[in-house]
Amino acid sequence: MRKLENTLSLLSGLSLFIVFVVVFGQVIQRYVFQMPMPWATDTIRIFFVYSVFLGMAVGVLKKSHLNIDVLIHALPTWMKPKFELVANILTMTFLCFVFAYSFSFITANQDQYTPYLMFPMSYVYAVIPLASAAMLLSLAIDTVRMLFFFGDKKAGDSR
Amino acid sequence: MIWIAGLFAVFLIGVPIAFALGFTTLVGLLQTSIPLQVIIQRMFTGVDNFALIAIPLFILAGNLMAVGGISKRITSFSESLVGHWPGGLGMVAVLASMIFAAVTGSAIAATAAIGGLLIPEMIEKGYSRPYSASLIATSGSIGPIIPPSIPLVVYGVIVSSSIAKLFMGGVIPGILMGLLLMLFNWRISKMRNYIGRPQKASIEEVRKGFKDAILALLMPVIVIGGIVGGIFTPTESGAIAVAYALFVGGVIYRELTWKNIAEAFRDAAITNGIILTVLMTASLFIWFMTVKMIPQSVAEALLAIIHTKWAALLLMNIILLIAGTFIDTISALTIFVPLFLPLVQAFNIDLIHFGVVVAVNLTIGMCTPPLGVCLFVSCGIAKTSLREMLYDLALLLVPLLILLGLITYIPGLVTWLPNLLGI
Repeated sequence: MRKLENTLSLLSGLSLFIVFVVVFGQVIQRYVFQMPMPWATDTIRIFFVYSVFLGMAVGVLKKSHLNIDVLIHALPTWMKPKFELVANILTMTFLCFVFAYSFSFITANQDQYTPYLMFPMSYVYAVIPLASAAMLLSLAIDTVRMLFFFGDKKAGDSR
Repeated sequence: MIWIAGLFAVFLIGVPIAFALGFTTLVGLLQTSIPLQVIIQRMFTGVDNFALIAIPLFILAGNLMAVGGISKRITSFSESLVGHWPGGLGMVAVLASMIFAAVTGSAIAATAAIGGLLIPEMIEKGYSRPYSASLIATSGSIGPIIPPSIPLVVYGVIVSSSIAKLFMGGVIPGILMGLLLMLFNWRISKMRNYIGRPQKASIEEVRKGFKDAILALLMPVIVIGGIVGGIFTPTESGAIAVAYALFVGGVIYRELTWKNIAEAFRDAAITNGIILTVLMTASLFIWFMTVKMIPQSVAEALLAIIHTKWAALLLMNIILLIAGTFIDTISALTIFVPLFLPLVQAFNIDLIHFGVVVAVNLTIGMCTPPLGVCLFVSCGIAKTSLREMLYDLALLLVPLLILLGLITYIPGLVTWLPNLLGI
C-alpha cells in the first residue's frame, strides 16, 4: 500500500511539474519568441487532469480528504468505529459506480481527440478508473481491517 | 430541500465531504432515468478548466517560499518596520501575513509560514500562548483576501466572472483587515503590557532588511502587476510565481534543495487533488440541484420573506458564517454560491462584490471552531488548546466581523479598485 501511495504521489507531482513547465514555457514563448504554442494547451490540460485524479487517489490512501467530525467527536468511543465503517461503505458505493461507469464513458467517447495534438481523450479519461481502483482497493483493505478488529481499540486509533 | 438535508446527514456520519456530495447525488440519480454516465462527465468537466490550474501553482509558490527562506526575510523586514510599536511582535505578525498574503492564496500556508517563525518568538517575549496562536490564525486569514486567492479562483470559475477583477476587489478589504487587526492588537497589547522591542530600528537596519527582502517583495509586484497590466492570466501568473520562487530560493538564497523542491511539488499536487475532488463532486451535486430546480425554489422561498438587498446580504452572511465554522472554505463555496446565485441576481448584487464578501465570510470560518484549519495549525505550533484560545480568539474575531460588515454594506470598498483600474 505504501508503495502504491508513493508511486501515485510521485506521478501526480510529476504531472504537476509538467503543467508548470509548459504554462511557464508558454509565457516565455509568447513574449520572448513571439511564437504561439498551440500544442501547449492540450499538454497542460492532459497532465492537469492526471495530476488531479492521482492526487485525489493519494488523498484517499492517506485519509486526508476533509470530513465533518463534530458528531463523531461527540460520540462514545465504542460507536466511533461503526460510524467509520458506514462512512467507508458509503464512500466505496459511490466510487464503485464511478469505477463501473467510467468504462462505458470511455467507450462512448472513443472518437474524441484533443484539438491540437490529436491525443485520444480515452487515454485521458483512463485515469478515472485507475484512480478509483486505487481508492477502492485502499478503502476495502481498511474496511476489512476494521471488521477484523471490530471493538478492538486499534481500529479506532488507526484513523 | 430533502436533498440538502440528506447531504448534511451524510456529512455528519463522517463521510469525506467530497464523497458525501457524490453519494447523495448518486442516490438521487438512481431515482431518475438519467444515465449514470453523467456522473463521470460532470466530474470531469468540473475540473477540466484552465483557470483552476492557478490553484496548485499558487499552493506550490507558497510551499516553495516557506522552505526557500523567503518568508524569513519578509518577517525580519516587517520587524524592522513595526517591531518597536506596542505589541511589536504582534504587529510584525500581521504585517508579515499581509505581505505573505500577496504571494500565496491560502490561509493555511500563511498561518504555517508566519506562525512557525513568530509564535515561538512571541511566547519567549511574554505573549500568552493562546493570544499568539489566535493572532497568527486571524492574520493568516488575510491570505486568501489579498490576491492571489484560491477561494476567489474557485468562485470566479463557478459564477464565470473575471478572476483578475475579483483579485483586485480583494486588495482594499485585505489591507483594511490587516489594519483593523493591528488596531486591536495595539489595544490589547497596551492592556496586557506586551511591549515591542525597546528601540526603533535605525534607518541602516531598515535599509538592510529591505535589501534582504527586496527579492521577496518584488514577487507580489510581478504577480499582481502582471495580472493588472494584462501581461498574463491569473493561471500564468501562478507559473511565474513558482518560477520566481524557485529562482530566488534556489539560485540566489541557495536554501532550496532538490529534495525540498520534489516534496513541494508532491505536496502541492496532493493538496490540489483533495481540493479539486470537492469541486468535481460539488459540480455534479449542483448540476443535479439545478435539474431539480432547487436553487430557484430556495430563492423563491427566501424572496417571500426578504424584500431588500440589505436583508438578503445579512441573511447570506449569517448562513455562510455558520456554514464556514464547520465546512471547509472550498466545499462551502461550491455548495452555497450556486444556491444563492438566483437570489444575488434577483437583488442585482454585483458579482465581484458578492465574491469578496463570500471569501471574507468563509475565511473567518477558517479561524472559528470546531473546524477551523488555521486554528489547528497555529494552536499546534503554540502548543495550546482550542479551549484555552476561545477568549482571545473571540476578541480578535471582532475586527474581522467589523470588516465583514463594512464591505457588505459599502460595496465601493470592493468594487472601486477594479473599476478604477478598468479591468
